[in-house]
Amino acid sequence: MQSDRPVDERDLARRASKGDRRAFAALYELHVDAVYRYAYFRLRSDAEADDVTSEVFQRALVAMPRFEPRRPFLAFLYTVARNVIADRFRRARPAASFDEALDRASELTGPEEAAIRSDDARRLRAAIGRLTEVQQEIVILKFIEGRETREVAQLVGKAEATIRGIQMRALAALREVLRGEDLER
Amino acid sequence: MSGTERELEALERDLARYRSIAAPAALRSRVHSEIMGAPAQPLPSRRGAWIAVLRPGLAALLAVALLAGAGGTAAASLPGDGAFPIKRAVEDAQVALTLSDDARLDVLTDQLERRLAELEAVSSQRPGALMVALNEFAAALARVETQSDIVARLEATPARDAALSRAAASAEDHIARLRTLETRLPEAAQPGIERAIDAQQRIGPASPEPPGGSGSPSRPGAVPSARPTIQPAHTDRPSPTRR
Repeated sequence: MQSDRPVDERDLARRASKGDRRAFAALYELHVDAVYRYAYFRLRSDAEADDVTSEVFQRALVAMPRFEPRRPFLAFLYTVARNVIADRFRRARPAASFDEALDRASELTGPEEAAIRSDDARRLRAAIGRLTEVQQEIVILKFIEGRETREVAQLVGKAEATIRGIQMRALAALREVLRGEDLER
Repeated sequence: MSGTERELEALERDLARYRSIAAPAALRSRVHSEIMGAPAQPLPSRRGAWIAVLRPGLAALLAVALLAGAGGTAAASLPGDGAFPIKRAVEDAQVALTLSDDARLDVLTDQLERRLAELEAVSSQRPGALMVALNEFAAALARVETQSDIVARLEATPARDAALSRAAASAEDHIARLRTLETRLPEAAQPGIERAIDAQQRIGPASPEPPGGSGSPSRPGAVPSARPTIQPAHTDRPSPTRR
């Protein structure tokens, strides 16, 4: 996790927690893409990923005076992101399923949506959405983000050995979902 | 290497190419502007001791006032009832008026326990309100998770450790009860229950290390630890979301 600049990041976090807006903006630049990818693969549409990314940094900014700078800032952002997404799921229509969301996506028009429809990112996103929450997080953090198992364990809040035990099962589950979709097509 | 292992390695390589997805430029720019333009957040200040004394009293007063105003029915209400929002408002007030982070975790843990009891009641008495009750439970769980995270970062004190232990013990109990619920709930509720179990596992006590500790990876050819350079694998990429 940004291992080439841990000292700078801790200093930025310390300054940001004391109200230094430029320091927070620098932290934002460091991590916005990781937060966006996390939201992108846990949600159904680009618009939702945009909204969640924005909300994560808004909430993080509000919480900064209470942030403990010794903790990795990205771990804090993932916690906020997880909660923002949980809130969205809670507010969503209860009976809405991932399949229904995809059906709605196919009703969209416009060049961007058309591109997304034909893109294998959409297929992957749908497949990830069918995994359990822990499996989703491991697929995103370990295999898409390429983070070390130790780091994933820290970010997810589980023991490293637990993550090591789950990660291949998560990958195998994803393969099964993708394979099932291939058969349906 | 078996065919399955080869397939998984291929999938692993395929997933890595999505690492190039980045926040769209318009979003980056907008959020950056929002950050720089947002009003300053006040730094936490030490409140006077009198506030510490008054807070629990204010919370109780507010709770009594609200509950009396609602004819006392709110406290017994279930998710989906008209009086339930009043019960939630009282609970939110209790959280807002609780002084310390560890005490706040205790309050939120109590509320989570209440949501689970309501979910259990609704599942047997009012199946029509099941998804509402499940969503309320998920929201309470998210609040406990966030607060646990805050408390876990505090300096170790007996109060802090007790609050964390209580949340973890309650999570263990909840997982067992959720698994029981899972067996009798309809399929539509299953993903929600699984997500709740996942979240409770994050709050619960850390899993013990298996024999052999954290030594070797689970299979040969595990993912390299370094983040590889991002290179497009082919042209069929998620281009709309990239810069």
